[in-house]
Amino acid sequence: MEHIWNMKVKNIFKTAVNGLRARKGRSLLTILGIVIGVMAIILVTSIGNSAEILILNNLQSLGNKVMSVEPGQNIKGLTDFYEYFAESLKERDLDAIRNPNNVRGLDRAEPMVVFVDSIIYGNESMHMNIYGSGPSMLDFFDISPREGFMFTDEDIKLRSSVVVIGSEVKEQLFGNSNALNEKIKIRGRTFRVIGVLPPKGQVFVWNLNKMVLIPYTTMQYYLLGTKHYTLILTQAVSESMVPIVKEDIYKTLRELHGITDPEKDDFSVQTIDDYANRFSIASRVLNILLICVAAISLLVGGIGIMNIMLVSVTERTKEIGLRKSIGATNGDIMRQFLLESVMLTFIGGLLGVFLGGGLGWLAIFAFKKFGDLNWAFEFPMSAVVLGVSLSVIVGIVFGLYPAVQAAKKNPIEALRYE
Amino acid sequence: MEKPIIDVKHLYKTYHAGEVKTPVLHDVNFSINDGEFVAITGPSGAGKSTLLNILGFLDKETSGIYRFEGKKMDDYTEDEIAHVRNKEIGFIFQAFNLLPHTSVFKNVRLPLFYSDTPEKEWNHRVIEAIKSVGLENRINFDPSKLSGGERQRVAIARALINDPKVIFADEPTGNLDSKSGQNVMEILQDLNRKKGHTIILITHEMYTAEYAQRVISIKDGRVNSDRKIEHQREANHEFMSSIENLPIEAPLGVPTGVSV
Repeated sequence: MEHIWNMKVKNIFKTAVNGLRARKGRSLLTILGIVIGVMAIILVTSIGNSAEILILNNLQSLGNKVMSVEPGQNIKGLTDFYEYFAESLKERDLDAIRNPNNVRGLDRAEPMVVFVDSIIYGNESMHMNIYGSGPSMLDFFDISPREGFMFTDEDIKLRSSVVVIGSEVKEQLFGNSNALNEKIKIRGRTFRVIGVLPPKGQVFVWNLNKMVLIPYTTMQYYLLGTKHYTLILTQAVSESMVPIVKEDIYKTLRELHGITDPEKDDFSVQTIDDYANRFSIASRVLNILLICVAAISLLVGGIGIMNIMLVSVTERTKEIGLRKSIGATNGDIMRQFLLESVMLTFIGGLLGVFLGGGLGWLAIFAFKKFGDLNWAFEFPMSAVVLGVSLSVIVGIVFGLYPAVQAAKKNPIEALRYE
Repeated sequence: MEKPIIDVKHLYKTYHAGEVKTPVLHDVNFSINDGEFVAITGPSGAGKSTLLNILGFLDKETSGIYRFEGKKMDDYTEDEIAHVRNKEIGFIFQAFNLLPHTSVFKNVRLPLFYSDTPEKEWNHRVIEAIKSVGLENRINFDPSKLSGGERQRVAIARALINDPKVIFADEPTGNLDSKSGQNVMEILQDLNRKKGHTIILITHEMYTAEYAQRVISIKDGRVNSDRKIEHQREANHEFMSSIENLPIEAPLGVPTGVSV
């Protein structure tokens, strides 16, 4: 007579469920650690995933032919831009890049200078990023003014005090009245509005609806008193030319700056892929870090489970003795209690998934509404699988010791337990 | 001569608590045949419960041979012991030992969970067992809502559910008033006479012991005497006749399709 599985699986389930039902309140509190841990995993992953998709989409919006030439050493993380190399890109670099003898396959190159200040029209003022650039900058964004015009090479040469504004800037400063030819003040200097952009939204890091564009020469000479650029935006004629353009720019500027050792570059050329990779790596690292923290919460939750199961086993000593006296094997008892703790943690994991998913959805909904960003909620199935399996594993690992303790109880002593 | 269902030879039991040894049973010898109703008596601490626990497969002897149905207890594996506890033996305790917050129906059903009886027979068996102790009208009650006598009857129904060969009763009337106690003894006699169960009863009261056919008296861990009862006390059959044909309630938490 073989009685390896003395009690059929279904009945073990029933017994375990009844055990949990009898102590609902306590069961719920016990799994709190698990719930929070799994919820954190889901939340972090779903927001992280959505952010990643958003940003990668944005990167795509600029197109695969664009490269950014930036001052400073090759950025490997969160460095402060304002170091001594920050001023390494100047007019001679722009001219050198634009020279087809130096750089092959270049479609266009335009410098960008940025600072933050207020623009004022009458009683209205807005505090925002002010960009200095050249006439072909709008081509990078694949956009042209819906009213008026973009400034020209003449304006660059003459350092004209003209400005092109985005749709939301126009809304806020001028409302429904005409903006063209009106005067706005930037840092005490008067600029004439010559163009208004159509609404386009976010392209890479620039919100075109909130754009304020003036000729870079004007910005450098009159507003900032500097000679360097924040960056030079370049575009190759085709995607296949991108590596060649990149290589040529490096060669050209290194020669210009007298750099022989690439380690000593005072600039870098970043393609869209470079940005994408950098971002992906950073976000993965962050994700993993946060998941580790959440895993610690699961661990702590597991210790809590073990404690409570031990208490539960002690409380039910008499019951264990009784079950043994009517024919439960050690294995039956062990399986009963192990299943209870696994069910507990599994339910905790499920709860965590629902809460994490729900909160994640809410968070992204809020970001969309108040942050002006086009986030999409991605339900991270991989995180769900991870979270639930982790919680089951925790249930098994931390439930094992109490279950074994229960199984070892001597029936007579157990029955005598008060 | 039929083989005895229980055969005990030179049984010794000593408890070890660290360094301290407490001898409890010395050289106990007797045998019990199928269908006997035996009472084991003696003063408190004489070793009766210890003996019953060994006979009932809840404890192991220190030395000596205990044969159950001809097989030595030492030869039983852990799983086989569990099987004996489940199928061959029914235990009734002084303190009832029912599962709290669990209906009468589910309490009686419990041993079936650990058996290999097909599930479709369960409901029928449980109800028959409950009927045999007259608790049809309490089928969904929680033990806390039952009297002492009713609780012991639930325990008896539970002990019967797998149709055991031997029923062990450890001071079954110890926590009951005399009326309930008599009802319980009536049920036990009935089980012995009409259904042929072997019954082994522990009690420290001679009065209760006289419901049995034979009394083994234990003193200081040894068999003091082993004699047949000349005038077996007859339980009046008031109780058993009163519980025939009681109306039965549908058990809660049981799948439909149960013919009641």
